[in-house]
Amino acid sequence: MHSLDHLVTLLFWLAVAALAFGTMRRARLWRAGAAAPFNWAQLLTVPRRYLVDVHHVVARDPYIARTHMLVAGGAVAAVALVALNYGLALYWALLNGAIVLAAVVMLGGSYLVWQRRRAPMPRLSAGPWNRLPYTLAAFALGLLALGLLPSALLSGFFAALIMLALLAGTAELVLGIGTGGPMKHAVAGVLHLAFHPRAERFAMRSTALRPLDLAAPVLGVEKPTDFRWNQLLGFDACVQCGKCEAACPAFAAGQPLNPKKFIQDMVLGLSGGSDAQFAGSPYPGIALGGHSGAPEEPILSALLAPETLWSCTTCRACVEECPMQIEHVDAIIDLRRFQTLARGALPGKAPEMLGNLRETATQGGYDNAARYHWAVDLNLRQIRPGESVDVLLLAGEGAFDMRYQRSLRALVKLLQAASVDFAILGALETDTGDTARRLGDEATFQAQAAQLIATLSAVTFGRILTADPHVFHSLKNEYPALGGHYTVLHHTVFLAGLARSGQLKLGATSETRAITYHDPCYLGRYNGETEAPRALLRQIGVRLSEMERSGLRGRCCGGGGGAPLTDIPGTQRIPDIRIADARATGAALVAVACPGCTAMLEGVVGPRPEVIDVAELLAAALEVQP
Amino acid sequence: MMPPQLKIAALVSVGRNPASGAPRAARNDVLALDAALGLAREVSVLHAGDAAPALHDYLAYGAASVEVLPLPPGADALAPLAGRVAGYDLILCGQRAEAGQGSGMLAYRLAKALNMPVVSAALEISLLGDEVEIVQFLPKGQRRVVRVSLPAVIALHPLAPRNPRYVYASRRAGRLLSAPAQVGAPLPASPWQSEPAVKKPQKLKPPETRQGHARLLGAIATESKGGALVREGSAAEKARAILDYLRANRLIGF
Ligand code: SF4
Ligand code: SF4
Repeated sequence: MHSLDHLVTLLFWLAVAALAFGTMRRARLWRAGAAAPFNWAQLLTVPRRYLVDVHHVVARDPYIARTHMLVAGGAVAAVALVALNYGLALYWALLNGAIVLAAVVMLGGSYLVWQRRRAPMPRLSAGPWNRLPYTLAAFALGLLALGLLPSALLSGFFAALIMLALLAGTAELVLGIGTGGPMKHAVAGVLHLAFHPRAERFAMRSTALRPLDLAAPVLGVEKPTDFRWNQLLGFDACVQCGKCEAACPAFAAGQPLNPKKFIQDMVLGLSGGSDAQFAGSPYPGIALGGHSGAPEEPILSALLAPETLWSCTTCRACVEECPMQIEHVDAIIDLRRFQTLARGALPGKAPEMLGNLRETATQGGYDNAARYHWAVDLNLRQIRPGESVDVLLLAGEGAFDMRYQRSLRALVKLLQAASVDFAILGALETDTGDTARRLGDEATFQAQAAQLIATLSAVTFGRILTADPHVFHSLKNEYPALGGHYTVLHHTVFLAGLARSGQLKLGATSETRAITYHDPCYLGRYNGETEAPRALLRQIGVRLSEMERSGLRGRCCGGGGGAPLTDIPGTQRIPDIRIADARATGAALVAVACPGCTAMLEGVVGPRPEVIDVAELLAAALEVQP
Repeated sequence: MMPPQLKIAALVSVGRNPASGAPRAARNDVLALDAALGLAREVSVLHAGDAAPALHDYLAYGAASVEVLPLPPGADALAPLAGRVAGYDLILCGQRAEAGQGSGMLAYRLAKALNMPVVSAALEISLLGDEVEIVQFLPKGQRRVVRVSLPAVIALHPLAPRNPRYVYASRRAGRLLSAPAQVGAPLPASPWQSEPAVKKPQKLKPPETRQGHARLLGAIATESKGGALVREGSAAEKARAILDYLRANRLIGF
């Protein structure tokens, strides 16, 4: 028995106390947020959520997955063993051996952390994060020495050295949560997984926005404390890995948005302070140091510039990439709701569009009776209140766009060729209000939804079919909360079903150009539907050359979230970047499945691949041309 | 500076969306309301007619309340309005209603009834002691600054450079107030017929100066038909380039 052992025991219990104290301190900040359901039993969900959901994301980067497994696994094992052997003052040599093993694992992991941080990619944060490999290694080395060297043999100098290393490592591990250091993520991350503000996402793809109570005293989020407490906790879980930053189309286009910085700004808001110390990439075009926040201060514009808020396309690429399962888009929409509903402060053409919606139920201010003018010669059945049909076709706002009318006509041709029993609402169709909702105008969204739900309840139909993923998403995922329950199908899914059952007879395409497929965010990431359009293209003999960012990880065309309306300038345009992606595959044709993507990608000037809807490609490959 | 107790009234009507015909806040009256709110914290917002739901839009645009002076349909709004705003320092309204007769006469008739000066086509209004200075719209990009003494009636031009904000929260907070019913005189019968307006945009085209062969070649060429691409410079310089082009081609006359 040696006094060093007792010192370690003392250090252990001091560390436990510091951790508990720090966590309580941080929890005070979270609890300043608005109410949300709370149940301790949710802590039991953490292992599964960590091993399944977090791992699923982290595993995309095998290097860091391995690294984290070694460091965190080693550290947790070592700390547990130290708790046993030293915390309970057992001082067994056998346990010391086990501690050595865990420390070796952790040391190996620390080495990998060090390797990565020698030439860090730009998305990583520097600052305190750069000291992590050293403090972690110090902790591991301290434990290693403690376990390997019989304490009786240690000179006073060596013992002091070991204690110093352990002290440095322990300080890093337990003080982070109280002081906002890098290791804050360990505590906040675990609690965030347990009390996640969108817990449904662990059971299924969950992307619908929460309805806002329009009678609430505060509409949306003005100050950090207007966020629900578990949202604040979620911000604190961020590890500043910058995966969201690397995925963000607005950041890539040089617009003043960086989802990582956005989350860190929310952390500043909940804890107070200035962004001068931020050690990652700033918002493009906005220098660091000019913004600061506090829990009870309005977030705009002291902490966050309006341009940042309105640059987001709500593409959810950041959410898809975030290993800590943070919900950036929900936070952005909460902020937009306040700006729109309580301040009316929307940039660009957004206010005009919202006025149009309120007055004409179309985004462009069109005469609703003109919505189906493109189909005047197609003999479509227009359903009337009281009638019934199997498939109800909703064209959406794209119906007013002369380019997209070609796609819609192709879709109708396919439906007629497959003898589908379908009808349109014609002039009764009104906008879903989806874009209003992304812009934070929940009042207009709910009014539009109520109008459309009333129209739909006057007719009987089996399914709703639409070619617009935004209509699809809002009807399928967001209308149920407002009382509209429908079976909704995107045209690619519906057509894939028809083709599979043989009802739709497709031949081979005559298209010989190289083709790539651009996933609409609201079909792919929002609804997980990436296979149906590809299956259809395969069926007509297209061999797709996939872009690097495709499927669930596709890159936005720039058209979501009302971004074309708010039109925040950057150094380039998002659709230009996406067309460059397509060019890189050598494709001369980009297949699309959304009116928004069509408009954005076709808006790219200069020589570019042709942009054609999947329905148009299929219609041209119909076996028997009607 | 004017004392804060300046009494300002904004007169608002129910407009209609040109595409759908849906009732709404008349755009021009929204500008008048917004201008009034820019001059004083408290503004009496008055509407002669029904307590139509579309009036709630004015609440969203910043009116704390809209006072409705009930009026049978087809009755003349002049008498009730003139009675209500007597004693006000400044009465603002849109230049022309979007629905009904839309004769644009209200401001003039009101000023005559109240024996006040009237200024129409106002773009900007600023208070200077017991006078107001008004930047007035004139055709062809010209502007005129006029001053009138208070009290006065001012009609806002539809192109007044204002940026009214539609705020749901203030719509929710505001109220429609009903004044006791008035018996208005019927409007003089209108000799007019109504038919849908047709908007005919005019395209400005530079006169053709090329000779036959060049024109034929131009018809099959895909490259630019002339003109210049201005990328550099400030917005003012770019605007200058456009103005120069329009002038050089005699597309505008000033
Ligand atoms: S928000 Fe998520 S993805 Fe972005 S830096 Fe933080 S942890 Fe990484
Ligand atoms: S949703 Fe898309 S645009 Fe918005 S912050 Fe995330 S990645 Fe960027």
